[in-house]
Amino acid sequence: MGNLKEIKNRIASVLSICQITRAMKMIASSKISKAEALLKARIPYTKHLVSIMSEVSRQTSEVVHPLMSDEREHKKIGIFVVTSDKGLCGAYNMNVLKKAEELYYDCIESDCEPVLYLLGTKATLQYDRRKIPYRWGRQDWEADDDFADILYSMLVRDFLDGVFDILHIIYASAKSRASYVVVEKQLLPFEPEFDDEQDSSGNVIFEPSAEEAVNLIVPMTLKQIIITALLDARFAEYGSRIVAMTNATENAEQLVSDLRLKFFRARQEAITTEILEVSAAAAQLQESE
Amino acid sequence: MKSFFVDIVAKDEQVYSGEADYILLPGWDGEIGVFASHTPIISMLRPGVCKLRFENQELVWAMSEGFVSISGDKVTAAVTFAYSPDEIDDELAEQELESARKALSEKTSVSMTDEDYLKEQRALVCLKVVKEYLDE
Repeated sequence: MGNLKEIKNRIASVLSICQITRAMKMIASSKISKAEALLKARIPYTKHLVSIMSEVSRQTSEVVHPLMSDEREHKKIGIFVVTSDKGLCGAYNMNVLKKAEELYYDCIESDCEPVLYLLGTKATLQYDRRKIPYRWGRQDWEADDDFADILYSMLVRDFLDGVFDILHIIYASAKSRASYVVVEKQLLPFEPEFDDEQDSSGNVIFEPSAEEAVNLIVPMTLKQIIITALLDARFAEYGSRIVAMTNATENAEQLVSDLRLKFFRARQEAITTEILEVSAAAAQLQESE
Repeated sequence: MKSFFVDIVAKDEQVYSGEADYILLPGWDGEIGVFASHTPIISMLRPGVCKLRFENQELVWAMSEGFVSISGDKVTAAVTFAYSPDEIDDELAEQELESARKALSEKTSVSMTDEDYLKEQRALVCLKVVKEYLDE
């Protein structure tokens, strides 16, 4: 009978795990729609900025904004890693951290100094555990404009002070709700993206001048790139969590049905043994009479 | 009157997308009034008031800095924000104004694209729009 009780307990515990994973999945599903909408809402604005940036670059051959100047030798490499604060999202953080590590060791091999910026509990914990120092770490983050502004000011200050010569950002970018890729982008010095579709008539009048426009558009675009990366990372995190929790729930359900079968078998076995014992005892009684 | 198409995109929302007879934008070197078939132009925008007229209706927004491109019969403005009068939180704007002025008082030279200067201007525009247009 001990075996039966054991199985019963296991079923109960797996069922409670199942409840948790299902709840996590539902929470992620409800958050993902909001995250997706926030990300999509940025697209028209970003597109417009990029097309203006292309036009500015076309009209100004030698404008160098301080954030675009790439004169220093790349000796100090900034690595900005975006991970999540919570786990239970499959290999999401692992993949990002793996990529960050590759870059980190590439730096060391080529005699450069890596400067780490870590966003998210998962990244800071990993580097704390391995006792690798980092310049900046932050846990509990929200993908909103205020936070992006703080990041922007910090990164720009560090770049101008020469803390790093080049900065890469590593984050998971969602391809769809169910899949993502880990991307690595150069954030500073700022390199404008070009909008190939735009017609390069070059006859557009700039007011007041393309040179002045650079001072305004470079910070605007950079901030936009940062916030988009954060939103993208959050979107990918929820997507990854949904997938992971769906699988976990399915596995738990499978486990429960296997355990139930085992429970019924064990119970049947116990009954059969009991009947055998009773009938054997009855037969013995009959014989002795 | 011939109308044209206007897109106003703020950083996180589409503020307006539709026809207009006339639009007044806060250009960097002064206000820009646009009717249909305007010359192609790309202009920087400073924080200011934007007015749009279409079929006897007038819409007003407090706009932040940004860019507008006018080409053919399409006007696209990309700004950090564009708030209609009822969306503005005037207490928040007062606070922003105060903190921006404090930061500015510590600076010796201020350019037109200085972050704190823009912050001050944005707050001023919000307050102006609330004061002048909210009760209509």
